[in-house]
Amino acid sequence: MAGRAFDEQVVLSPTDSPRGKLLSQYVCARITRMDEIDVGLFDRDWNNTLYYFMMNADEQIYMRYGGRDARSPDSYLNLSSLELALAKGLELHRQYQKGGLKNAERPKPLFPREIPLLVDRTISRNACVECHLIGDYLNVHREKDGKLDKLTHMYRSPDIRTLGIELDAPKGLVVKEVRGAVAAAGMKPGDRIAGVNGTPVWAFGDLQYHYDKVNRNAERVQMAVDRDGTPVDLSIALPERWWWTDLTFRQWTIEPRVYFESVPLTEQEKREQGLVERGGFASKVKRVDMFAEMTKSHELRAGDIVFGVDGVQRDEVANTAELFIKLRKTAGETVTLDVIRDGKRMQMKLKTYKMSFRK
Amino acid sequence: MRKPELLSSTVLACVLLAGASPSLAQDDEIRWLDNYREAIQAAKRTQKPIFLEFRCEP
Repeated sequence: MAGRAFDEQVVLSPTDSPRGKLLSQYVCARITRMDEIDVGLFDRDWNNTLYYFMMNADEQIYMRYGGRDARSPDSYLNLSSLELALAKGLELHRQYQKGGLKNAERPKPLFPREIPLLVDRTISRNACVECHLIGDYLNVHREKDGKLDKLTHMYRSPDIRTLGIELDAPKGLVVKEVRGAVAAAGMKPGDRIAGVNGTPVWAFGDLQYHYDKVNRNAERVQMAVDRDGTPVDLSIALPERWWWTDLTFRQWTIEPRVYFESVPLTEQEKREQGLVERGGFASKVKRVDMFAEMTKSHELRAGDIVFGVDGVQRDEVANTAELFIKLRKTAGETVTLDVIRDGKRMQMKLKTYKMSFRK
Repeated sequence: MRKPELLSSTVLACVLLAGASPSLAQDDEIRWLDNYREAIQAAKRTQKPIFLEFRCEP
């Protein structure tokens, strides 16, 4: 199970170990039931099965520790970085006690019992309020109310690697390698990321949470770094689709499952096929998931070119047919695809699937 | 003969990880509460910060 080994190592820290000595200066609590928790205050990406907060008795949060990416639930869980975070949490607590930290505005409270679908399908059956269900049912309600913004709510926790940041995970927010957008903005290996759009960040959990708050239509993000003790502000140009992440590990019922992966055609390839060029989402099927056949979702094959969905061939955001369906269609909907196979144009149906939870 | 030792530490780990009562914790272990409100009260009493773990166990 994701994070189990890390969880055990933290919980069973010997008191005479460096980590244990730090933990001994905290009141430690391990919560496995979310029923009575204010999920408004402890908002996070709900597809993390393990997550930590450093905070105080006034319910002021100093820091978030945790966070994952599509590659692994453990990418950023590291005992060395946890020790750094614990030490920083103690320092922030001392500052708070001396009146040196401003109280953050408390988010609107939200308890699991206030999420109707969660009550109906989970709480009333006395089943465990699993974290991912909180995120999913909040999104289902948003979708019903016409308030779902898939770029923000479905593509949660954009990957900092898309910006070109590779962290030195044991050292917390110290940058190991830079490429692309952050290299162009002047970030350097050895920098320690210290803030996102003016909000201080102390651990990867903070960085991911506040980076997720960046408006999906933004063109730039500001990051502060500490370079050998000197603060440096960087203005980073966000690349196209910077918010995109692989959703495979997530359990969203709002995500239309398409069971294929595709790559965008180049402008040259589109021209050769006589397809819509700029803004067209024509794309080549790279891989078909075995569930396509099992669920009779569609009959696409690797190598097919999908150039239209329900007669639409271009989109201002999506660069592949796969992404267009995920963004613009509702899970469970059936669409008509325009396809080129072996040079011949044809149409075929694709039934999107909706994730279901068996309890 | 290390088996009994291994068995006892495994049992202890299971008990702790199941969110057992903090009173089970011994001197060489960190005390973990399993109730949020109790953690807030303990932090008020001791003036310590709180290290709060959320563990989802599907």
